[in-house]
Amino acid sequence: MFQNNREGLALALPAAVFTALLFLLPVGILLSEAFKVDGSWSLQGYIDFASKPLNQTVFLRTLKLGALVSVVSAIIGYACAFCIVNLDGRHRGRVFGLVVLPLMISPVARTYAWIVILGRTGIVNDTIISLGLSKTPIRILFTETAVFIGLLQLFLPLMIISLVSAMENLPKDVIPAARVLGANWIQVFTKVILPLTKDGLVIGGTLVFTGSLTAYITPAILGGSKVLMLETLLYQRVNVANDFVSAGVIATVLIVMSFGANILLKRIAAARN
Amino acid sequence: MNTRLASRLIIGTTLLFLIGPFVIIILAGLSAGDFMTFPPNGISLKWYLKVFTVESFRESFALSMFLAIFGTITALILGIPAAYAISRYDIPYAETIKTIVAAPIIVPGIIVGLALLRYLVVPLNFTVTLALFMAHTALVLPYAVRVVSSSLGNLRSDMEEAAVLLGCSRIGAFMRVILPNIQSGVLAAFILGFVTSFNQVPVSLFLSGPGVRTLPIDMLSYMEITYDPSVAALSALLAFLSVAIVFVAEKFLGFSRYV
Amino acid sequence: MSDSFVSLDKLSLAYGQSVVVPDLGLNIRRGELIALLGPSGCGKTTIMRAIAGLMTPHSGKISIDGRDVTKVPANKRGVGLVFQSYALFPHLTAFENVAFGLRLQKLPAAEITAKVEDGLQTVGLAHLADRKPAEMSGGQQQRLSLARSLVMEPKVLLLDEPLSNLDARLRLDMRTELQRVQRDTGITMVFVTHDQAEALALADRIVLMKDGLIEQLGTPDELYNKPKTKFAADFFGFENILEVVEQTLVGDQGRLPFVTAQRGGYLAWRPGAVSVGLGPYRGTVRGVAFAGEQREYVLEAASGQIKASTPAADPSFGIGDVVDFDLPLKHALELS
Repeated sequence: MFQNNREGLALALPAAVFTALLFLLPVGILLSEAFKVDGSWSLQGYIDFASKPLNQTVFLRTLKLGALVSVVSAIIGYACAFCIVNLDGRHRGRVFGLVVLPLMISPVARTYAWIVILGRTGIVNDTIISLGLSKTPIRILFTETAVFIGLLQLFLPLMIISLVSAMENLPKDVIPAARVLGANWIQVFTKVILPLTKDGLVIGGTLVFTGSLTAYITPAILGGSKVLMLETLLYQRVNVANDFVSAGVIATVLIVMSFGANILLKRIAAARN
Repeated sequence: MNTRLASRLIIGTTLLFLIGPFVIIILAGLSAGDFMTFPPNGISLKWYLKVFTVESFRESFALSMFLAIFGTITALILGIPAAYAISRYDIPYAETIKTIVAAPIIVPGIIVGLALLRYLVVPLNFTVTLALFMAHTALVLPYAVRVVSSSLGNLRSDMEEAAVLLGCSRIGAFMRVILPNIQSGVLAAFILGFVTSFNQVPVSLFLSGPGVRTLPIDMLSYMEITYDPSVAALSALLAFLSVAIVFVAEKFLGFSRYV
Repeated sequence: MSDSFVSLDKLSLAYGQSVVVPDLGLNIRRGELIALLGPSGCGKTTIMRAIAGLMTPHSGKISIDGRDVTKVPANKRGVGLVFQSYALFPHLTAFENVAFGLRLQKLPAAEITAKVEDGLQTVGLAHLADRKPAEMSGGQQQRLSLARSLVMEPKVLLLDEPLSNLDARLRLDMRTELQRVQRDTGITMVFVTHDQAEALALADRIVLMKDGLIEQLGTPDELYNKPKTKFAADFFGFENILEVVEQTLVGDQGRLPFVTAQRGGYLAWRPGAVSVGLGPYRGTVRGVAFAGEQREYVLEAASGQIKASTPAADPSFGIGDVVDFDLPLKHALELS
């Protein structure tokens, strides 16, 4: 009954054509701007971009924060996932729901709270001053730390979800078996849990890393123009200087990094085997 | 038991980190003073109420709602047939089509907004709203296809074959047998799409103009000018809205099955 | 007790608020093969996990070879456990699975290789050393799981439902295998099962459990021929258990007259002890099943259902036939 492939194609094409024409095409053209100078193909745009120290700083900073958020969220993620998976049914559902909840809320709202917490008159500073650890408020906002915290809060749930899913699929009794064979908890993690959940780690890691690379709101609100990341830089270049070449370069770099991260992580996962 | 305590501690601290900030925002919005402080000096609902009176918030809210609702509906109109085709047929270029439809998730939103602005709005005279609409539809489409595919995957194809043998036309079989059974999947896709579109920011950054702003963008520019608790109140309200929608969905649909 | 190798003393086990085993005392002898037998929910698996250290007792003491291990964590108890699900590591080859515990002990590589090869040889899996568990059959996986535990030379080997997942022929093979291993190594083995036939075939002693308490402890002979309670009798095949009330036998649905000096208690008959075709009682045949050597009947009598079985060669009856039957006192089991 489903042999008429033409029919099937006709059903699927509208969606594909819509996306291709109205979405991918304009994006493709934008990316190509990065390869053009005065109408002809050239890599000059990239060279110019890469040679400016500001751009280099922003690029490295974006990578660094992306990696840091990924690693920290993996550590916290595994700890949480392990605890969640060992909870009984009712509690597990509730806790899991609470973890997923923030994902449904606008990133603007999620990031804004940090202003209240990390600002000069915010909770953290109030506590620090009242505990006598410092006489004047420390500047936390508009530093890399603030952006790091904001990004971590934003993407941690993704890592947790991914790891919980992976850990739920562990073969039955494998952990008690390792224990009875003499493994302490660290060995159980490195020799059993890690190898068997590495797909979940790759998925979570990719989501967190690419998410952090391409974040706009959090760096914009918590970093401002003092802590520029690639996307906030892009916005600035276009808005302030109409610099579409830079925009194209950054866009291409971002997309390449996203794909690259994905492939690299997959290779690592396969190699560990 | 030691491990249970440790477990509670780990989960508790993590949840505090993830959700604590909301509680703070909700409370900060209740501040009676004129500035954003925490703990708030005095409790008052004035900022929550003020949110409803700011005209630009009302307009941008309306726009965001419009995009979320109609963008998602369009995405479903395009996506349901596509999901059906991919899961039931063996179409040529299936992988390519799947990749194309899923691509919007990978492209950073800000690039999308900029690209549409430059190549559709300016040269072809598309209105900003139209461009926004198309961008949001394309963004929701992958989710729609994925959720509906998952829902279709749970249905065996013998049902349609049985219907046809009993005399139904193909379309009839689809309407009478498939649609009713994927209802909750479609609804789940709608809610997921709605929330995704409503909370979307980067795409809308460049696609805004006088009177045309999505709510999150409006909030961002408001934040740059004023530092009063109304943004906190608005954030809290939006958070409630999203949470309520998802909560209702979970209660009535068992949402998590499809995502 | 000096005789006792594994001793459980006033052991109380609970999951959260619900107590599974209230107060258990059990002494397992060195080198014996003992079965924890009972229906699901009776606590046998919980006890096994407690011995392994995967579960902390609410109160009480566990000792292995004279050493109090109640507070010792699972990875330091020297106990082996073959899980019902086998719990093999899917990402490791058969060789590496067996080597897992040995590697943790940081033994020299040559020694590990020797022990693993020997272990695989013992269970007949030497030729599959490089395969992953997913590429092996169910029976092979179980033997691999057994090898993995044996190679650690544990003081006690625990087995969770070792024969339940296997088909009839594999079951026989595995049974023989386990007995052979036990004879060769002299390891103390505790296995958990819900199948009385398994327990009877394998065990030196059987612990019959019900609701977390020991119903009866004894040799297979004792349990099979002299069960002490109604539950035990029913479990070991006395399918007709009737209460003695004055001069009648009382069943679910009525009574049969009976002459006996016994005051109160129960009398139980195996289906084979019921004679069909001759006797003072009357019943209607409701079910007949041919079982090779025997023919099994379900009779409806005044007292309720009576299960009988006669040699296949005897005259047979059909559904609906009204037959005479007897419950001979000399074949009855007395229960208090």
